[in-house]
Amino acid sequence: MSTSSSSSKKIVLKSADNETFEIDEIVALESQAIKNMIEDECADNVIPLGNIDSKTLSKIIEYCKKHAESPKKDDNADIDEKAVEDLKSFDAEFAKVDMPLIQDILMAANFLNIDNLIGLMCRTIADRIKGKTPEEIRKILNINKNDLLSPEQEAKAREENSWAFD
Amino acid sequence: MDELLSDTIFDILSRFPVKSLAGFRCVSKSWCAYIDDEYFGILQGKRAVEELKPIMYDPKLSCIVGYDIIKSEEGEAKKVMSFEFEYKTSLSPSYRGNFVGRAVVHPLRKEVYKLPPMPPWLDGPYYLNEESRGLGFDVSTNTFKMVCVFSRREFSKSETISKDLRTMYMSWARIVLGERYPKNEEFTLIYPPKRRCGYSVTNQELVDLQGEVGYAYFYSDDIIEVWVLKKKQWVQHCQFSKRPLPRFSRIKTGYGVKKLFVYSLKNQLLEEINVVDQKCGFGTYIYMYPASSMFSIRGINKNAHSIKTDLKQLDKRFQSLNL
Repeated sequence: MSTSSSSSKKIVLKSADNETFEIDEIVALESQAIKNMIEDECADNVIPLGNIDSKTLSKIIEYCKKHAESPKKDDNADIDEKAVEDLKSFDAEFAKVDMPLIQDILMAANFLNIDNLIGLMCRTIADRIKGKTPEEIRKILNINKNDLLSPEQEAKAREENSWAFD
Repeated sequence: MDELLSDTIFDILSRFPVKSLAGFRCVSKSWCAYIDDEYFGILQGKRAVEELKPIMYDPKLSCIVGYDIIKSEEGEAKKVMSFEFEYKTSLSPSYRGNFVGRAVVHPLRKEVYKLPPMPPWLDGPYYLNEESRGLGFDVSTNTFKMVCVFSRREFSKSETISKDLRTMYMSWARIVLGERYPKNEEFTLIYPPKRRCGYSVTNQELVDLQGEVGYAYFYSDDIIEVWVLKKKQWVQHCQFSKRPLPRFSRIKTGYGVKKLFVYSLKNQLLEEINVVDQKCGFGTYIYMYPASSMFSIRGINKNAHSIKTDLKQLDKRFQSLNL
Protein backbone atom coordinates (compact mmCIF):
# COMPACT_ATOMS: atom_id res chain seq x y z
CA MET A 1 0.00 0.00 0.00
CA SER A 2 2.73 2.42 0.94
CA THR A 3 4.55 4.58 -1.56
CA SER A 4 6.71 6.51 0.89
CA SER A 5 10.41 6.05 1.54
CA SER A 6 11.41 2.91 3.33
CA SER A 7 13.19 4.84 6.06
CA SER A 8 9.96 5.89 7.84
CA LYS A 9 8.39 3.65 10.38
CA LYS A 10 5.53 1.46 9.22
CA ILE A 11 2.36 0.46 10.93
CA VAL A 12 0.35 -2.55 9.83
CA LEU A 13 -3.43 -2.58 10.13
CA LYS A 14 -5.55 -5.65 9.65
CA SER A 15 -9.17 -5.38 8.59
CA ALA A 16 -12.06 -7.59 9.67
CA ASP A 17 -11.73 -9.59 6.46
CA ASN A 18 -8.04 -10.22 7.19
CA GLU A 19 -6.55 -7.87 4.67
CA THR A 20 -3.41 -6.12 5.88
CA PHE A 21 -2.50 -2.53 5.15
CA GLU A 22 0.98 -1.23 5.69
CA ILE A 23 1.04 2.51 6.19
CA ASP A 24 3.53 5.12 7.29
CA GLU A 25 3.42 5.93 10.94
CA ILE A 26 2.74 9.57 10.09
CA VAL A 27 -0.46 8.52 8.32
CA ALA A 28 -1.53 6.32 11.21
CA LEU A 29 -1.05 9.23 13.59
CA GLU A 30 -4.15 10.86 12.08
CA SER A 31 -6.05 8.40 14.23
CA GLN A 32 -5.96 9.46 17.85
CA ALA A 33 -6.62 5.87 18.90
CA ILE A 34 -3.63 4.50 16.98
CA LYS A 35 -1.53 7.43 18.10
CA ASN A 36 -2.23 6.44 21.68
CA MET A 37 -1.29 2.89 20.93
CA ILE A 38 1.98 3.98 19.36
CA GLU A 39 2.76 6.18 22.33
CA ASP A 40 2.03 3.28 24.64
CA GLU A 41 4.33 1.19 22.50
CA CYS A 42 1.75 -1.42 21.74
CA ALA A 43 1.64 -0.91 18.01
CA ASP A 44 4.75 -2.88 17.12
CA ASN A 45 2.84 -5.77 15.69
CA VAL A 46 -0.14 -5.85 13.41
CA ILE A 47 -3.07 -3.83 14.74
CA PRO A 48 -6.23 -5.84 14.28
CA LEU A 49 -9.34 -3.84 13.48
CA GLY A 50 -11.97 -6.51 13.85
CA ASN A 51 -14.92 -4.21 13.25
CA ILE A 52 -13.72 -2.46 10.10
CA ASP A 53 -13.88 -4.15 6.70
CA SER A 54 -11.22 -3.64 4.04
CA LYS A 55 -13.40 -1.44 1.85
CA THR A 56 -14.01 0.99 4.68
CA LEU A 57 -10.45 0.78 5.94
CA SER A 58 -8.91 1.58 2.57
CA LYS A 59 -11.20 4.62 2.33
CA ILE A 60 -10.06 5.74 5.74
CA ILE A 61 -6.40 5.26 4.87
CA GLU A 62 -6.93 7.28 1.69
CA TYR A 63 -8.30 10.09 3.86
CA CYS A 64 -5.54 9.88 6.45
CA LYS A 65 -2.81 9.87 3.82
CA LYS A 66 -4.12 13.00 2.19
CA HIS A 67 -4.54 14.76 5.48
CA ALA A 68 -1.15 13.64 6.79
CA GLU A 69 0.52 15.01 3.65
CA SER A 70 -1.20 18.36 3.87
CA PRO A 71 0.37 21.06 5.99
CA LYS A 72 -1.35 21.35 9.33
CA LYS A 73 -3.18 24.53 10.00
CA ASP A 74 -1.36 25.30 13.21
CA ASP A 75 2.07 24.42 11.89
CA ASN A 76 2.80 27.93 10.74
CA ALA A 77 0.96 31.16 10.35
CA ASP A 78 1.14 31.52 6.60
CA ILE A 79 -0.85 28.53 5.46
CA ASP A 80 -0.65 27.70 1.84
CA GLU A 81 -4.09 28.67 0.61
CA LYS A 82 -3.79 26.37 -2.33
CA ALA A 83 -3.17 23.44 -0.01
CA VAL A 84 -6.25 24.35 1.99
CA GLU A 85 -8.36 24.53 -1.15
CA ASP A 86 -6.87 21.31 -2.36
CA LEU A 87 -7.78 19.57 0.88
CA LYS A 88 -11.30 21.00 0.72
CA SER A 89 -11.90 19.64 -2.74
CA PHE A 90 -10.41 16.33 -1.69
CA ASP A 91 -12.87 16.17 1.21
CA ALA A 92 -15.77 17.05 -1.07
CA GLU A 93 -14.80 14.28 -3.49
CA PHE A 94 -14.16 11.87 -0.66
CA ALA A 95 -17.66 12.36 0.69
CA LYS A 96 -19.30 11.43 -2.60
CA VAL A 97 -20.10 7.91 -1.54
CA ASP A 98 -23.31 6.13 -0.77
CA MET A 99 -25.01 6.36 2.58
CA PRO A 100 -24.15 2.87 3.86
CA LEU A 101 -20.47 3.52 3.29
CA ILE A 102 -20.73 6.91 4.97
CA GLN A 103 -22.23 5.23 7.98
CA ASP A 104 -19.50 2.57 7.97
CA ILE A 105 -16.84 5.23 7.73
CA LEU A 106 -18.45 7.12 10.58
CA MET A 107 -18.46 4.08 12.80
CA ALA A 108 -14.84 3.36 11.97
CA ALA A 109 -13.78 6.98 12.35
CA ASN A 110 -15.42 7.00 15.75
CA PHE A 111 -13.57 3.85 16.71
CA LEU A 112 -10.25 5.12 15.40
CA ASN A 113 -10.96 8.57 16.78
CA ILE A 114 -10.30 10.68 13.70
CA ASP A 115 -12.01 13.94 14.53
CA ASN A 116 -11.80 15.62 11.13
CA LEU A 117 -13.25 12.62 9.41
CA ILE A 118 -16.11 12.35 11.89
CA GLY A 119 -16.85 16.00 11.26
CA LEU A 120 -16.74 15.55 7.50
CA MET A 121 -19.11 12.59 7.58
CA CYS A 122 -21.55 14.28 9.93
CA ARG A 123 -21.54 17.35 7.74
CA THR A 124 -22.18 15.19 4.71
CA ILE A 125 -25.15 13.49 6.32
CA ALA A 126 -26.48 16.83 7.53
CA ASP A 127 -26.20 18.23 3.98
CA ARG A 128 -28.09 15.29 2.57
CA ILE A 129 -31.05 15.57 4.91
CA LYS A 130 -31.19 19.35 4.82
CA GLY A 131 -34.57 20.60 3.70
CA LYS A 132 -35.95 17.10 3.41
CA THR A 133 -39.26 15.94 4.77
CA PRO A 134 -39.35 13.40 7.59
CA GLU A 135 -40.36 10.72 5.06
CA GLU A 136 -37.41 11.50 2.83
CA ILE A 137 -35.04 11.50 5.77
CA ARG A 138 -36.26 8.09 6.86
CA LYS A 139 -35.54 6.80 3.38
CA ILE A 140 -32.14 8.44 3.06
CA LEU A 141 -30.95 7.14 6.41
CA ASN A 142 -32.79 3.86 6.22
CA ILE A 143 -34.36 4.36 9.60
CA ASN A 144 -35.34 1.14 11.28
CA LYS A 145 -39.07 0.42 10.98
CA ASN A 146 -39.25 -0.40 14.68
CA ASP A 147 -38.10 3.08 15.45
CA LEU A 148 -40.96 4.86 13.71
CA LEU A 149 -43.48 6.80 15.69
CA SER A 150 -46.99 5.47 15.80
CA PRO A 151 -49.45 7.39 13.62
CA GLU A 152 -50.88 9.00 16.76
CA GLN A 153 -47.46 10.01 18.03
CA GLU A 154 -46.51 11.39 14.65
CA ALA A 155 -49.71 13.37 14.37
CA LYS A 156 -49.07 14.78 17.80
CA ALA A 157 -45.47 15.70 16.99
CA ARG A 158 -46.61 17.36 13.78
CA GLU A 159 -49.27 19.30 15.53
CA GLU A 160 -46.91 20.41 18.26
CA ASN A 161 -44.47 21.69 15.72
CA SER A 162 -46.80 22.69 12.94
CA TRP A 163 -44.99 25.98 12.55
CA ALA A 164 -41.95 24.03 11.37
CA PHE A 165 -43.79 22.62 8.37
CA ASP A 166 -44.78 25.89 6.72
CA MET B 1 -28.67 5.49 11.39
CA ASP B 2 -29.79 3.85 14.58
CA GLU B 3 -26.50 1.99 14.57
CA LEU B 4 -24.64 5.23 14.86
CA LEU B 5 -23.39 6.36 18.21
CA SER B 6 -25.63 8.84 19.88
CA ASP B 7 -22.76 11.34 19.90
CA THR B 8 -22.72 11.17 16.15
CA ILE B 9 -26.45 11.71 15.85
CA PHE B 10 -26.16 14.67 18.17
CA ASP B 11 -23.33 15.96 16.05
CA ILE B 12 -25.45 15.78 12.91
CA LEU B 13 -28.60 17.22 14.43
CA SER B 14 -26.81 20.02 16.18
CA ARG B 15 -26.01 21.49 12.79
CA PHE B 16 -29.62 22.41 12.23
CA PRO B 17 -31.70 25.33 13.38
CA VAL B 18 -34.56 24.78 15.74
CA LYS B 19 -37.11 25.01 12.99
CA SER B 20 -35.63 22.02 11.21
CA LEU B 21 -35.34 20.14 14.47
CA ALA B 22 -38.97 20.74 15.23
CA GLY B 23 -39.77 19.02 11.95
CA PHE B 24 -37.25 16.25 12.57
CA ARG B 25 -39.01 15.26 15.75
CA CYS B 26 -41.33 13.04 13.79
CA VAL B 27 -38.62 11.23 11.80
CA SER B 28 -38.33 8.50 14.38
CA LYS B 29 -38.66 7.71 18.03
CA SER B 30 -34.97 8.01 18.68
CA TRP B 31 -34.73 11.32 16.86
CA CYS B 32 -37.60 12.65 18.86
CA ALA B 33 -35.88 11.49 22.03
CA TYR B 34 -32.55 12.99 20.97
CA ILE B 35 -34.08 16.32 20.14
CA ASP B 36 -35.97 16.47 23.40
CA ASP B 37 -32.90 15.45 25.31
CA GLU B 38 -31.32 17.97 27.56
CA TYR B 39 -27.79 17.27 26.47
CA PHE B 40 -28.80 17.97 22.93
CA GLY B 41 -29.91 21.43 23.90
CA ILE B 42 -26.42 22.13 25.09
CA LEU B 43 -24.80 20.80 21.97
CA GLN B 44 -27.23 22.59 19.75
CA GLY B 45 -26.63 25.80 21.60
CA LYS B 46 -22.95 25.55 20.88
CA ARG B 47 -23.48 25.36 17.18
CA ALA B 48 -26.53 27.50 17.13
CA VAL B 49 -27.94 28.85 13.96
CA GLU B 50 -29.33 32.23 14.64
CA GLU B 51 -32.97 32.82 14.26
CA LEU B 52 -35.27 35.13 16.09
CA LYS B 53 -33.70 36.42 19.19
CA PRO B 54 -35.55 38.48 21.66
CA ILE B 55 -33.66 41.15 23.41
CA MET B 56 -36.45 42.97 25.06
CA TYR B 57 -39.27 42.10 27.23
CA ASP B 58 -41.97 43.97 28.88
CA PRO B 59 -41.37 44.74 32.51
CA LYS B 60 -44.97 45.09 33.40
CA LEU B 61 -46.96 42.76 31.23
CA SER B 62 -49.51 41.38 33.50
CA CYS B 63 -51.70 38.69 32.20
CA ILE B 64 -51.03 37.24 28.82
CA VAL B 65 -53.75 35.29 27.14
CA GLY B 66 -51.98 34.79 23.87
CA TYR B 67 -49.77 36.49 21.41
CA ASP B 68 -48.53 36.41 17.88
CA ILE B 69 -45.16 37.29 16.59
CA ILE B 70 -45.52 39.51 13.63
CA LYS B 71 -42.61 40.21 11.38
CA SER B 72 -42.32 43.90 10.99
CA GLU B 73 -40.85 43.73 7.55
CA GLU B 74 -42.28 45.81 4.79
CA GLY B 75 -45.37 44.52 3.12
CA GLU B 76 -47.86 42.20 4.55
CA ALA B 77 -47.47 41.14 8.10
CA LYS B 78 -46.44 37.56 8.30
CA LYS B 79 -47.38 35.40 11.17
CA VAL B 80 -44.21 33.69 12.21
CA MET B 81 -45.35 31.75 15.14
CA SER B 82 -48.24 31.94 17.44
CA PHE B 83 -49.49 30.07 20.35
CA GLU B 84 -51.75 30.65 23.21
CA PHE B 85 -51.30 30.19 26.80
CA GLU B 86 -53.20 31.30 29.72
CA TYR B 87 -51.71 32.92 32.65
CA LYS B 88 -54.09 33.94 35.30
CA THR B 89 -53.76 34.96 38.80
CA SER B 90 -56.32 35.74 41.38
CA LEU B 91 -53.90 37.68 43.47
CA SER B 92 -54.62 41.21 44.32
CA PRO B 93 -52.88 43.48 41.86
CA SER B 94 -52.68 46.24 44.35
CA TYR B 95 -50.26 44.43 46.54
CA ARG B 96 -47.38 46.87 46.54
CA GLY B 97 -46.85 46.12 42.90
CA ASN B 98 -43.66 44.38 43.86
CA PHE B 99 -44.33 40.75 43.41
CA VAL B 100 -43.54 40.09 39.84
CA GLY B 101 -44.02 36.83 38.02
CA ARG B 102 -41.70 35.75 35.28
CA ALA B 103 -42.29 33.30 32.55
CA VAL B 104 -40.15 31.64 29.98
CA VAL B 105 -41.50 30.39 26.69
CA HIS B 106 -40.15 27.30 25.04
CA PRO B 107 -40.91 27.72 21.35
CA LEU B 108 -40.25 24.16 20.35
CA ARG B 109 -42.57 22.67 22.87
CA LYS B 110 -44.88 25.64 23.11
CA GLU B 111 -44.60 25.53 26.81
CA VAL B 112 -44.48 28.33 29.24
CA TYR B 113 -42.54 28.04 32.39
CA LYS B 114 -42.79 30.33 35.25
CA LEU B 115 -39.60 31.21 37.00
CA PRO B 116 -39.30 31.01 40.73
CA PRO B 117 -40.76 34.04 42.40
CA MET B 118 -38.60 36.73 43.75
CA PRO B 119 -38.93 37.29 47.45
CA PRO B 120 -41.16 40.24 48.12
CA TRP B 121 -38.57 41.88 50.25
CA LEU B 122 -34.96 41.45 51.02
CA ASP B 123 -32.83 42.09 54.00
CA GLY B 124 -31.15 45.39 54.34
CA PRO B 125 -31.89 48.78 52.97
CA TYR B 126 -33.12 47.74 49.58
CA TYR B 127 -36.08 48.91 47.74
CA LEU B 128 -37.63 46.35 45.56
CA ASN B 129 -38.57 48.63 42.79
CA GLU B 130 -36.05 47.08 40.52
CA GLU B 131 -34.78 49.51 38.03
CA SER B 132 -33.89 46.84 35.63
CA ARG B 133 -33.68 43.14 35.28
CA GLY B 134 -33.10 40.53 32.70
CA LEU B 135 -31.42 37.30 31.93
CA GLY B 136 -27.71 36.95 31.72
CA PHE B 137 -25.72 34.00 30.56
CA ASP B 138 -22.83 32.95 32.68
CA VAL B 139 -20.32 31.21 30.44
CA SER B 140 -18.24 30.05 33.34
CA THR B 141 -20.96 27.73 34.52
CA ASN B 142 -23.03 27.44 31.35
CA THR B 143 -26.09 28.61 33.15
CA PHE B 144 -28.54 31.32 32.59
CA LYS B 145 -29.11 33.74 35.36
CA MET B 146 -31.63 36.28 36.25
CA VAL B 147 -29.92 39.53 36.87
CA CYS B 148 -31.54 42.34 38.74
CA VAL B 149 -30.36 45.75 39.58
CA PHE B 150 -31.76 47.06 42.81
CA SER B 151 -31.78 50.45 44.21
CA ARG B 152 -30.08 50.55 47.47
CA ARG B 153 -31.20 53.42 49.55
CA GLU B 154 -30.77 54.60 52.99
CA PHE B 155 -34.13 55.31 54.42
CA SER B 156 -33.09 58.67 55.64
CA LYS B 157 -32.15 59.68 52.13
CA SER B 158 -34.26 59.28 49.12
CA GLU B 159 -31.64 59.14 46.43
CA THR B 160 -30.05 56.03 45.09
CA ILE B 161 -26.68 55.34 46.56
CA SER B 162 -25.52 52.32 44.69
CA LYS B 163 -26.76 49.37 42.80
CA ASP B 164 -26.26 45.68 43.24
CA LEU B 165 -26.33 43.19 40.49
CA ARG B 166 -28.01 40.09 41.68
CA THR B 167 -28.23 36.75 40.10
CA MET B 168 -30.92 34.22 40.47
CA TYR B 169 -30.28 30.65 39.79
CA MET B 170 -31.42 28.13 42.31
CA SER B 171 -32.47 30.96 44.47
CA TRP B 172 -31.89 34.61 44.75
CA ALA B 173 -28.42 35.35 45.86
CA ARG B 174 -26.93 38.66 46.55
CA ILE B 175 -23.71 39.62 44.95
CA VAL B 176 -21.45 41.12 47.51
CA LEU B 177 -20.11 44.42 46.41
CA GLY B 178 -16.56 44.35 45.23
CA GLU B 179 -16.40 40.58 45.33
CA ARG B 180 -16.94 38.13 42.61
CA TYR B 181 -19.85 35.91 43.22
CA PRO B 182 -19.58 32.99 42.92
CA LYS B 183 -15.88 33.29 42.52
CA ASN B 184 -15.62 32.47 38.86
CA GLU B 185 -18.51 34.59 37.70
CA GLU B 186 -18.17 37.77 35.83
CA PHE B 187 -21.04 39.55 37.45
CA THR B 188 -20.19 42.34 39.73
CA LEU B 189 -21.13 45.91 40.50
CA ILE B 190 -21.90 47.58 37.25
CA TYR B 191 -23.61 50.84 36.50
CA PRO B 192 -25.87 51.25 33.53
CA PRO B 193 -24.31 52.56 30.32
CA LYS B 194 -24.15 56.22 29.58
CA ARG B 195 -27.32 57.82 28.40
CA ARG B 196 -27.62 60.12 25.47
CA CYS B 197 -27.78 63.79 26.16
CA GLY B 198 -30.82 65.72 25.11
CA TYR B 199 -33.19 62.80 25.10
CA SER B 200 -35.47 61.68 27.81
CA VAL B 201 -35.51 58.03 28.70
CA THR B 202 -38.93 56.45 28.74
CA ASN B 203 -37.71 53.05 29.79
CA GLN B 204 -34.50 51.15 30.42
CA GLU B 205 -33.86 47.56 31.13
CA LEU B 206 -31.44 44.71 31.13
CA VAL B 207 -31.80 42.40 28.18
CA ASP B 208 -30.33 39.16 27.03
CA LEU B 209 -28.29 39.50 23.90
CA GLN B 210 -27.32 36.18 22.49
CA GLY B 211 -26.25 35.03 25.87
CA GLU B 212 -24.60 38.28 26.74
CA VAL B 213 -25.90 40.87 29.08
CA GLY B 214 -27.34 43.81 27.28
CA TYR B 215 -28.95 47.03 28.36
CA ALA B 216 -31.63 48.82 26.43
CA TYR B 217 -32.55 52.45 26.63
CA PHE B 218 -35.86 53.55 25.23
CA TYR B 219 -35.62 57.19 24.44
CA SER B 220 -38.37 59.52 23.57
CA ASP B 221 -38.67 60.00 19.81
CA ASP B 222 -38.95 56.24 19.58
CA ILE B 223 -35.25 55.51 19.60
CA ILE B 224 -34.01 52.30 21.15
CA GLU B 225 -30.38 51.94 21.98
CA VAL B 226 -28.84 48.66 23.04
CA TRP B 227 -25.59 48.21 24.87
CA VAL B 228 -23.74 45.05 25.55
CA LEU B 229 -21.52 44.28 28.48
CA LYS B 230 -17.95 43.42 27.51
CA LYS B 231 -15.42 42.90 30.24
CA LYS B 232 -17.47 44.99 32.64
CA GLN B 233 -17.68 47.85 30.17
CA TRP B 234 -20.77 48.78 28.21
CA VAL B 235 -20.23 48.81 24.49
CA GLN B 236 -22.89 50.12 22.20
CA HIS B 237 -24.41 47.30 20.24
CA CYS B 238 -27.04 48.77 18.00
CA GLN B 239 -29.81 51.24 17.83
CA PHE B 240 -33.17 51.40 16.20
CA SER B 241 -35.79 53.81 15.24
CA LYS B 242 -38.98 51.96 15.79
CA ARG B 243 -40.78 51.15 12.61
CA PRO B 244 -44.46 51.59 12.19
CA LEU B 245 -46.12 48.45 13.34
CA PRO B 246 -47.98 46.25 10.94
CA ARG B 247 -51.09 45.63 12.94
CA PHE B 248 -51.54 47.10 16.29
CA SER B 249 -49.93 50.37 16.82
CA ARG B 250 -50.27 50.33 20.53
CA ILE B 251 -51.49 48.00 23.15
CA LYS B 252 -53.03 49.58 26.12
CA THR B 253 -52.99 47.97 29.47
CA GLY B 254 -53.83 49.03 32.94
CA TYR B 255 -50.23 49.98 33.37
CA GLY B 256 -49.97 51.89 30.16
CA VAL B 257 -48.58 51.05 26.79
CA LYS B 258 -46.62 47.82 26.75
CA LYS B 259 -44.73 46.15 23.99
CA LEU B 260 -42.47 43.23 23.37
CA PHE B 261 -39.69 43.39 20.85
CA VAL B 262 -37.66 40.76 19.15
CA TYR B 263 -34.38 41.56 17.53
CA SER B 264 -33.01 39.27 14.91
CA LEU B 265 -29.24 39.46 14.90
CA LYS B 266 -29.11 37.75 11.55
CA ASN B 267 -31.07 40.23 9.53
CA GLN B 268 -30.83 43.02 12.08
CA LEU B 269 -34.53 43.55 12.16
CA LEU B 270 -36.41 44.68 15.15
CA GLU B 271 -39.63 42.82 15.36
CA GLU B 272 -42.54 43.33 17.57
CA ILE B 273 -44.41 40.70 19.43
CA ASN B 274 -47.99 41.68 19.58
CA VAL B 275 -49.77 40.95 22.73
CA VAL B 276 -53.13 39.80 21.55
CA ASP B 277 -54.87 40.26 24.78
CA GLN B 278 -53.94 40.86 28.30
CA LYS B 279 -55.60 41.63 31.50
CA CYS B 280 -54.55 43.76 34.34
CA GLY B 281 -53.00 42.04 37.23
CA PHE B 282 -49.57 41.33 38.45
CA GLY B 283 -46.62 42.29 36.38
CA THR B 284 -45.24 39.36 34.49
CA TYR B 285 -42.00 39.02 32.68
CA ILE B 286 -42.11 37.08 29.49
CA TYR B 287 -38.94 35.79 27.96
CA MET B 288 -38.96 34.06 24.68
CA TYR B 289 -35.99 32.09 23.65
CA PRO B 290 -36.27 30.65 20.22
CA ALA B 291 -33.58 29.09 18.10
CA SER B 292 -30.11 29.34 19.40
CA SER B 293 -31.15 29.56 22.94
CA MET B 294 -32.76 26.20 23.40
CA PHE B 295 -29.73 25.79 25.46
CA SER B 296 -30.62 28.71 27.61
CA ILE B 297 -34.18 27.65 27.99
CA ARG B 298 -33.12 24.32 29.25
CA GLY B 299 -30.88 25.97 31.73
CA ILE B 300 -33.83 27.86 33.09
CA ASN B 301 -36.13 24.98 32.67
CA LYS B 302 -34.42 23.07 35.41
CA ASN B 303 -35.41 25.66 37.90
CA ALA B 304 -38.61 26.80 36.40
CA HIS B 305 -41.93 25.48 37.49
CA SER B 306 -44.90 24.99 35.37
CA ILE B 307 -47.34 27.78 35.80
CA LYS B 308 -49.91 25.71 37.56
CA THR B 309 -47.52 24.54 40.20
CA ASP B 310 -46.11 27.90 40.65
CA LEU B 311 -49.37 29.68 41.08
CA LYS B 312 -50.18 27.36 43.90
CA GLN B 313 -46.94 28.28 45.50
CA LEU B 314 -47.69 31.90 44.95
CA ASP B 315 -51.04 31.52 46.56
CA LYS B 316 -49.53 29.82 49.54
CA ARG B 317 -46.99 32.48 49.82
CA PHE B 318 -49.57 35.17 49.86
CA GLN B 319 -51.70 33.33 52.29
CA SER B 320 -48.75 33.05 54.61
CA LEU B 321 -48.34 36.77 54.34
CA ASN B 322 -51.90 37.26 55.49
CA LEU B 323 -52.92 39.22 52.50
